[in-house]
Amino acid sequence: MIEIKHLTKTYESAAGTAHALDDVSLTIADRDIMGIIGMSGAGKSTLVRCINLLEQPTSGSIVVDGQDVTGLTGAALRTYRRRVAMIFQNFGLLSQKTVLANVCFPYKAATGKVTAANRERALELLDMVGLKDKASSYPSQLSGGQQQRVAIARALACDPEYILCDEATSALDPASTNTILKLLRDINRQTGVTIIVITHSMGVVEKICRNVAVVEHGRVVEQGSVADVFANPRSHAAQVLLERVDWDA
Amino acid sequence: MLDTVGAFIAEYGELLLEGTGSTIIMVLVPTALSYIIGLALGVVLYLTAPGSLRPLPVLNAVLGWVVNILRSFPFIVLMVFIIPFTRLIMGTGSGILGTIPPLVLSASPFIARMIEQSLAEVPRESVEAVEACGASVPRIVFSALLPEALPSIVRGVAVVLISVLGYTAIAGAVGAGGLGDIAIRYGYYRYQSDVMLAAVIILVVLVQIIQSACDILARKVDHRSARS
Repeated sequence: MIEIKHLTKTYESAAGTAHALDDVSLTIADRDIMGIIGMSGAGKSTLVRCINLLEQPTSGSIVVDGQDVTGLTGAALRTYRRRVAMIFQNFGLLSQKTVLANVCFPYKAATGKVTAANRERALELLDMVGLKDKASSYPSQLSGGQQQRVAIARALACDPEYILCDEATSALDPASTNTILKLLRDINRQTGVTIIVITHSMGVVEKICRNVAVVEHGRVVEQGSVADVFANPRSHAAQVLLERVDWDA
Repeated sequence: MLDTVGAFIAEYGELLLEGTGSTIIMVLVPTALSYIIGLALGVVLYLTAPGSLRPLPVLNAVLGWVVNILRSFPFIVLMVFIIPFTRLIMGTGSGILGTIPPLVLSASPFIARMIEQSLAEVPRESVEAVEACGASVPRIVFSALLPEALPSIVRGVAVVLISVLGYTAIAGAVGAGGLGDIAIRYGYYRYQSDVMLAAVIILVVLVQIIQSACDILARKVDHRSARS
């Protein structure tokens, strides 16, 4: 379980202080697929990047299974990060490494080497995402959807408890988007891994999420089960995202 | 015509061959040494920059100043300026040995900037993705950043080698020999334009070889386009 408590993130610049996150509190239950939705610039990406500490929160805390992770550094931080894998909008694959080497990277990150057993496991994961035959290809030889499947296999190689998806389908066409979403849903069902989905698309939330939080101007303005929020969106942001307002108003 | 060429080679062939050899040594040895320093410096500059993996603003600024100061010296001024230092560590201020310290001091900061730039070209998401896998900074540098930047670094090698080749001509001023020295001594002081021309032709060929070799190598190690 991830408990986000009074999380604030500010950026200081010459123009003044910008509040990317403003007192965000949120609980993500184990085995859930949780959607965090909002318009561009709402702060949802900052929120998810604070969870694995790619961004350091200004104040507040993130408690994972009872452990406050906010102050982690060094080896403890790196161990924690392997529990919380991440996939990115533009896949974040290493272009100079083969698909197999990319999937094996978490092993290399953890132990400094890749064993035969690691490679076997990576091939199993590639098989699971349907790309075993592409193991010796380079990412540039794959389509966007295929690259994201490689990124998912890499995330699974960490053997994570949580997977953070930062706009994971925003760069993909609808068919590839569906493939990725089905894959994430099936992984959630089979392994029980908790998935946190950052998106600006209600379609994505509707397809795979059970719960959703709506973020606007760095605050959580609405949260609940997807069924409830879709049936009765109370916040203006949710209404706009659900296209329940007159677009020409 | 052939006789003339034959006579020219008989008279100056050895001189030009020796000059070519000196030039190649003067280019390769200091460049190799400079890459050891420049790679380390470039990686540190990249890592300590604001917003990078280990932001250390003071160290970054100080290293940046040192690099900029060394890069502001015209090579001939730097060479003369550090002659006492060169004598101290090499035992001589002249000859091929005397050119190594100024060439290294001149090329290292240049290489550091080239490396820093090559590393900065690696997409941010790729770096964050390996960071999110729990990789340590040394692991990120050696297993992800440097391999990802390799094609760009190899292209940079051509730029560096050709710049150092240019510096070696100036190094002739401290009696280091080489093709640039031959071109100046024979062409400028003795009005023997044929010798100068021959030296220049060899320099042009060297530049072409360096550039082509690095281009071929860079293409070979680059997997970013779908054709590879």
